[in-house]
Formats: sequence, C-alpha cells, structure tokens
Amino acid sequence: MTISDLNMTQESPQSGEVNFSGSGWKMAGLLIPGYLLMIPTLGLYRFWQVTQKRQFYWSRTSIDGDSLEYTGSATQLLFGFMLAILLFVPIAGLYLWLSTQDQNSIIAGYAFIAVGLYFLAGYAEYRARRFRFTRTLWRGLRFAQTGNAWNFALRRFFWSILVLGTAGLAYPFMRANLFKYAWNNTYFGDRKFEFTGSWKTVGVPFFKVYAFFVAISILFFIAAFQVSQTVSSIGIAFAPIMILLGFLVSSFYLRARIPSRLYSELQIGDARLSVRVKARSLIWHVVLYAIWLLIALIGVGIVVAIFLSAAQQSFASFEAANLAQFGQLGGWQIALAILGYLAVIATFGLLAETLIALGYWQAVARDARIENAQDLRTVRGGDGDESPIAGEGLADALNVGAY
Amino acid sequence: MDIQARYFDGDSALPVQATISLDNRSHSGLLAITDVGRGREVAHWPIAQVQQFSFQKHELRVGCETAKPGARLVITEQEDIRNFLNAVPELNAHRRRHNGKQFQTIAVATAALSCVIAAYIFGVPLFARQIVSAIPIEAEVAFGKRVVTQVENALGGGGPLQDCDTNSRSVANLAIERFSQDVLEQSGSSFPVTVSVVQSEIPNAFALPGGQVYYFSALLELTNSPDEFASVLAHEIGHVVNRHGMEQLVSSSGTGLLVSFILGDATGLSAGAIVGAALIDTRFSRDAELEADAFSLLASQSINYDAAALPNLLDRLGGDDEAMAAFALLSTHPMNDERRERLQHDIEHSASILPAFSQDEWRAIKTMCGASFAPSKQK
Repeated sequence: MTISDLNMTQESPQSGEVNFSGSGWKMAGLLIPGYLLMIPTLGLYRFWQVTQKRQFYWSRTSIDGDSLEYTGSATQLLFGFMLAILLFVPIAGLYLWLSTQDQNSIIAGYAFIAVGLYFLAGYAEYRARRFRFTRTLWRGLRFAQTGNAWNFALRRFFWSILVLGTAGLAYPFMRANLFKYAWNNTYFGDRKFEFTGSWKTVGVPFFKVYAFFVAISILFFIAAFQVSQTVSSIGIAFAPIMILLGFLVSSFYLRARIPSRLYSELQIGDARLSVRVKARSLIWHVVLYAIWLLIALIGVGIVVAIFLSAAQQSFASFEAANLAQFGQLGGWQIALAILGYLAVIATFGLLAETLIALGYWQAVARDARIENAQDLRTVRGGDGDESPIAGEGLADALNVGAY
Repeated sequence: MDIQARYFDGDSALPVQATISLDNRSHSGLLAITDVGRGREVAHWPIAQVQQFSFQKHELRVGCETAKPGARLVITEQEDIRNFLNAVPELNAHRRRHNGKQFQTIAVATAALSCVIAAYIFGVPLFARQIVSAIPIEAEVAFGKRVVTQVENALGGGGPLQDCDTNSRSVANLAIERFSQDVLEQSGSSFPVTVSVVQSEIPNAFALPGGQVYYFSALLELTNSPDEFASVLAHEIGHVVNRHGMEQLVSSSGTGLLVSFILGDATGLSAGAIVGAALIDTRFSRDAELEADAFSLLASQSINYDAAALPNLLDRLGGDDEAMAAFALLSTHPMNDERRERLQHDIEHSASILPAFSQDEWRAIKTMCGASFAPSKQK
C-alpha cells in the first residue's frame, strides 16, 4: 500500500459526509459531444444530454459514502416535452386570435397569457421536482414527493402577488412557506423530511440586505436634498456604482446564506442536514466564468473576423456584388450563420454549466454534511413509484427548474 | 474470484459490504452475494437477469430483473469492475442492446421531426389557405382596419400617414380607382381595395389584410412609366385578392410553434426562435410574391398594358444600393434573379398594348405628391 492509497482511505467520506467528485472538465467532455450531436438530430439530442448530465451529477454525488443514482431516461423527457407542446397549440391559437384584435385587447391578452404562464410555471416546477425525486435512488431506495402541484402553484402565485404588493417584504415568508410545503411532502423511502425552520430562516439574511438598501437610499436622499451642492453631486455620481456593487455583493451573500440556512433546517428522522455555502466561493465561480467567457468571445471574434475577410475577398472578385445579393445569401451562408449562432449559444451554455451550475453544486456538496447519518440505515422502502412524465416536460417547455 | 461490492437489497437503506462470487449450481450461472460482516449469503441473482444501470466509468451498478427494482450491486474498484464484466459477459450484450435501442429512438424521433418540418414547410401554405378561406371577408376587413391604424402609427411616427392627394375626385385618384376596379373585375374578386399614395421617404409599396394598399411617394418618384406604376399596383392587389396577409399571419404562428419545439423553448422569445421563424417565413413570403407577380401579369394581359415594366422597376431598384437597402429591409418583396427571369419569360409581347394610364392621368399621378413632372423617354 502506497502513501497515496493511505491518503485515499483517509479522505474517503466518513459518516455523514457529502462528496462531489465531478469536475468541470469531465462535464465539458460530456457536454461537447452532446452539443455536436444536436445538429444531426435537429436538437432532439438535448433530452439525452440532459439525462447524461443528471446521471453525471447524481452518480458523482455521494452521501455518507454511497452515491446517488438517476433512474430517469431520455425517452421520458422526450415524450414529456411532446405532451407539454400540446398545451402550447391552443396558446398559439390564442396568440393568432389576439393578433387580429385591437391594440388594447392585444396588450390585455398578452398580460393575461403571461400571468397564466407564471401560474403554470409553479405547477410545472412542483411536478418537475417530483419527477426528479422519484427517479433518484440512494442505497436502493427512491425518494418520493406527495402534495398537490395545483396547491403549490396557487401558494406560489398568491405569495408572489403579496411580495409585489409589499415591495419584497413578504419574500422570506413566501420562500420559507414554499420550501416547507415541498420538503414536508418529500420522503426518502418510507421516511418523511421535516422542515424545522420558519420565515426567520430566510428573513435574517434577507432583512439585513433589505435594511442595508433602505439605509443607502435614505442616505442618498438626504445627500441629494439637504446637504450642499458639491456633496450631493458627489453622492449622485457615486450612487449608481454603490448600488450596483451592493446588489452584486448582496446577491452572492443571499445566494449562499439563504439556501444554507434553509437546507440546514431539514431533518429526516434523527438525521439532520447541515449546509454552509460560502459567498466567496460563489463569487469565484462568476469571476472564472467571466474570464472564460472573455476568452471564448475573443476566440469567436477571431473566427468571425477570418470569415468576414474571406467573404469580403470573394465578394471583391465578384463584379455585381451589392447589398441586395448580400441580403440574399445562399443556403450555405445561412447554414454557416445558423451554425455560428448555435456555437455561441453552446459556448454560453457550456461555460454556465461547467462553471456556475457545477460550481454551485460543488460548493453545496463540499460544505454539506449529515448529522446522525447512521439513523438513515433504518429507513425502509416506500410504496411510491416513478411519477408520470408530464410535469417535467412542462417545466422543460417553460424553462423552469435547474439541473 | 471474489469481487468487492456494496449491496442494497432495495427494501431497506442498510448498506451491505459484500463479496460476489460466481456460482455454477444452475446451468446459466448465479451470482452469489455474501454479506462480509455476517459471513453469509444474502442473495443470489441469476446471471441472465442481471441488468446494468448507470453507464459511468467510475462505478458499475447492476440490478436484477427478479429482485426489488431498487436492489443494486455497486462496484467501484477498477479491477473489480473488470473482473465482474469478465464474469458476466452478458452485460456487454445488454449494454449494446441498450445503446442500440437509444440510437433507434433518436433516429426514429429525428426522422419523425424531419417529416414534420418537411410537411410543415410544404404543407402550411396550403393549410394556411384552407384556414384563411374559412375566415369571412368581412372579418378580414374589420381586422384590416385595426392593422391600418397600427401600421400607420408605426410608419407615420405616431400619426396617420399623409395622403398625397386628399381629394378623392381628383384626376389622379379617379384614375387609380378606375385601374384598381379593372384589375379586380378581371380577377372576379369582390374584395374592397383602397389604394393610398402617401408621403414617405421609403421607396416601398405594400398591401395590408382587408384591402388597404399603400404606394409611397419615394417609390413613385422612382417609377418612370404608367405601366411600371400599374404593374406594382396590380401586384399589390394580387396580395389582397389572394389574402396573403392573413395567410402569413396563420403560417407564422405555426412556424413559431415548430421552431419552439426544435429549440425547446416554447415561449418562443429567444433570438434563435425569432430568427429561425423568420427564415422559414421568408420562404412562404417568397411564394406569395411569385403568386402576386403572376396575378399582376394576368391583369396586364387582360387590361392590355406592358407588364415588362415591373422588371424594369425592379432592375432600377436593384441597381440603387441605397434604395435597395431600405427596400430589402422593410418590404416583403425579396428581389431575386429567379423572380425577374420568371416575369420576363412569361410576358408575351403583343403588338397592340397601350399604357395603363393616359398621358394626363399619369402626369396627375406623378405630380400628386408634389414632384415635378418630366416625361421619361419610352423605348
């Protein structure tokens, strides 16, 4: 046994540890072939890519020494999406009918549809969560989710109105309430999760940030109207920078603190989750993302410049070339433009996935552990089965839900 | 051959540290799973029923068709994985079958989607026509009135577009009306067409659903002969009679749905969805242009003026880069050689053709937007 073997044994997760062994490079190695395969499959490969991605995340996340398993299949996603598209056929009809109405009706109609879709997004989110949980296996047992997706959608909808009406003050209540509803309806095998927190779990970090912004606003208000001309002009000049900086820092702070506090209030039997995500690791992911994005954009810029100069040369040798002909580029130029567009979209997606999404998952896993994990050994199998496919497809169509 | 594995029976969450050994008690072979801690066999799986889950390199997960659905053996050491795959060669066949099935599904789905796209691109113009023919003309006219308000607000900078000649009994307006009625009559259509010559710096002419046709003053300035003017007008009336505006409306909402499906964004708000839909719709509008050209040609033969004038105007517009840029961006008229050739090819030169408007009428039309009149020399 070598020293590195010894180290590995010592580092191997001990009781209650959560571990994520995936890396951005491995994820990129999985995503890039997927993006390429989307071209011959007219985009349909995305369902397989998402499935592989989930298998990657699940299988490389181990809890108390045993990894998760994602048991869903790509065909389920494909059929779920096809079902969801059926819903959009009448909506397309509605758009068509609306476009023949007068201007005010169009605005009212679009607003109505937007509100309807927002409501539906809540339903889809809950069903999609159920889809994923019932397809997650740990130690031979699957997770389950009860509760009613319409109930969840209604809560989310009316809480959202309240949050708007109270200028955001109701947000901690909404977040905690929805979190509680979802997790108090979640099972591992036959054992139920329980959320032991309250609105304060979200409220403590949230109101700190809220108070900070209120204080800043008041200060600038005073500076603008009460103090001398020079001071107020300096204040007004710095206000946008300060507010932007404040928003940036506080968004990382909230993104780290709120989930950490919420998940740390989860309990299942005697086992208890504890999560401490650090804001600075999230900032680091975004900095990395920005650097890579810059590199990628420079690369794209060079390719485009080469293409344009080549195109210019071929046009220069072509007498009758004018804007009209340029506007009527042939099939291959359009194909090239589409490919270029897709490549840029894929690059954005790739970087966002490997740096931001994976980084977040990594940060959560690294700083999470389960206390009294041995209690989980007494869980027995529940009687739940995999949930129907429709919810996930709807969430997919509405672009809600991550991972 | 003893292989180390984690065993889960699918019934309780208790992990079992196990060794797997091959047992030849039955013909097809069994996997004997032994609990290391308790030193006794906890399960035996017939090799033929062993299934592989999760195709990852760093761990091999297998289950058994006859065991609980969640029952798993998880092998993580590379050497153990190799040994296991050697002991259970059926897994390779199983994996091949699984991959083959996935490939088949992707192939079938892609083929189906290709068929849908092809059926869409070739079928929607027909389908849209069917839908539009079910819409009563009165409904289109009512809709057209709302579109007119919207378009005039958008193009006229908030207010309605300014008519060049507000007197509906003027020589120019009467001549235009007479010509429009002649064109409509020969086509047998009862569509109420209104032609407005309006002030605009954009060289353009277009038709809206419901029968409103616009001819912009900048295009009128570029128009050199009464027959050019007549050809463009007949072309636009062709759009009205064929109800292209409504067809476009129907087909573009279908396009949105299709592109949404391909891109997986049903809200249709991404740049890709918008550009993709525009690309497909361009095809439909090109078909519509050719149809309107054919209508214009038919009108010229029936009324007996020179339809070769339209290609002349197209050529002149095509030669003028600046005008062309604005034209190409704003109009629904994609200029192309194919279209020009087709027009020139179809024109039968008859000896007895007369201009569509008399010299006095044409002078009145040409000057209705305030331009001076310099009669151009005809070939």
